[in-house]
Amino acid sequence: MSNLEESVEFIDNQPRCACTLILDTSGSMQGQAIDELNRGLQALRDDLMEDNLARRRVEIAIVEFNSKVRLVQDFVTVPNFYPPHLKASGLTEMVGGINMGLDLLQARKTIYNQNGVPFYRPWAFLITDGQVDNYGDVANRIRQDEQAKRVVFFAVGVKGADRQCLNEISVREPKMLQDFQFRELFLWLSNSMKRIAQTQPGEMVALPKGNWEAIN
Amino acid sequence: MTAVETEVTAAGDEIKPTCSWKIAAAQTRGLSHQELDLPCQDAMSIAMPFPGTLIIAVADGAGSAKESLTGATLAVRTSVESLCRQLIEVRDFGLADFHWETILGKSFVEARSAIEENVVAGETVLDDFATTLIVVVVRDDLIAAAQVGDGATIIEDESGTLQGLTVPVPGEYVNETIFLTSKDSLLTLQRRVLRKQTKAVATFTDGLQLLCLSWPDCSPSQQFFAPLFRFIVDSTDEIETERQMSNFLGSKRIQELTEDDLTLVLAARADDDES
Repeated sequence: MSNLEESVEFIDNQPRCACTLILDTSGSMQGQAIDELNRGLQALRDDLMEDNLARRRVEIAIVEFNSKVRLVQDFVTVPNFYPPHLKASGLTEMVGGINMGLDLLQARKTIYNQNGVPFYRPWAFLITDGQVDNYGDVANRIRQDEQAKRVVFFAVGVKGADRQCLNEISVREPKMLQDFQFRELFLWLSNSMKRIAQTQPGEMVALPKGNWEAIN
Repeated sequence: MTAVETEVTAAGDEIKPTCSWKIAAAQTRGLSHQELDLPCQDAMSIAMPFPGTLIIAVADGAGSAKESLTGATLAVRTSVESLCRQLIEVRDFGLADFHWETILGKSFVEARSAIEENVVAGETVLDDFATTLIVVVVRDDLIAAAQVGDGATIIEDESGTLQGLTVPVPGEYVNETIFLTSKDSLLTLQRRVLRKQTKAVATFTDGLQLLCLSWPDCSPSQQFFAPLFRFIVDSTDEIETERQMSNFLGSKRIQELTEDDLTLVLAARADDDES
């Protein structure tokens, strides 16, 4: 009898979970906020690397917005993710940042479909300390995307953020970051991604509790 | 669903010579279930109501549903009992495809009813018992299968051709599926009846599907199934066969690629001189 374990070859159909980080790097983030944000990104990578499935399945992209909107990092799997060193300056072009982040996710899904790659519902993760006007259209877009299950959108406010604005754009309750606990925030994101990356068909994901939330 | 009409037995079809089957099964608890201290929530049941007629059922209880192991167990047990009972009642081997589909459908209706009867008002709801279900009946000259949710049944015919008999129906996202307990689940029931000699058959829950089916068309991988079927066709010692299957499912190579519970049932036609 042939040895089963040695004779069978697998297809590697690893499902992917795309996560776009939409990060505010406007001038008001200067100092401790941007430093902690950068450290948090490193913690995100380090923590995801330790998880066997998340390492293979999670794909990260980063969009920053200040006076301009910039794609800092296109989608990469965790081993290829080398966190950038972000700098803070300028204004808060948040609407453009969100739109770019959502566009990226939509394009990624198209690539997955074209290549027969199975995937989870992608995540967009907004972090901002800013205040903006004229966010009605992007708020509608997020609402429609959430309703159609195109995306899971999270908004996290850093000290100074316009809570009213975040409440209006995010269908899910926005969270306020306590102090500058970016590391804890990104470890929570990593844990959430790990849980998603191991879900099987039909499972609901219970997200871990965040210890970085400000209690108001 | 109407009861199977028994008049079909009156035609006096001859019971054709039967064949015999080699059967082996293995199951492992997924790493994610071990970490969360959950049991293996897959269930399987195998029966042979008459010589040469083999019934296999596998079910995958949803990890997040609290009574899913009960749901999966009830699903396989009830569907197999239902099929045995129905096949004994009709005692006929000349059933039309339509009748096979009816028999399979009825076994799913009964499986769902058995789960519904276990719902305790105020304590549990039907979704707590969420499970998939695949049922296969294989005989000398016919194979019939039905499926709700993920997992698959792959066969190799006498010419060596692989074919997916029932396969997952991908939703937009990989972690979405329909369960036997879902609303209108039986409207999505896949039923297939093939009039051909099956050399070997594999039925498995969804943990394996991303390793052996191309996505999203779910066609079977030659590199996966050809050696797997050769293994069961060549097998001689049942204990050794199941030991190797268990080692295979628990192997580092598989565990690195999936953390789900895994259930695999293999059957192959035994050569006449062995039967």
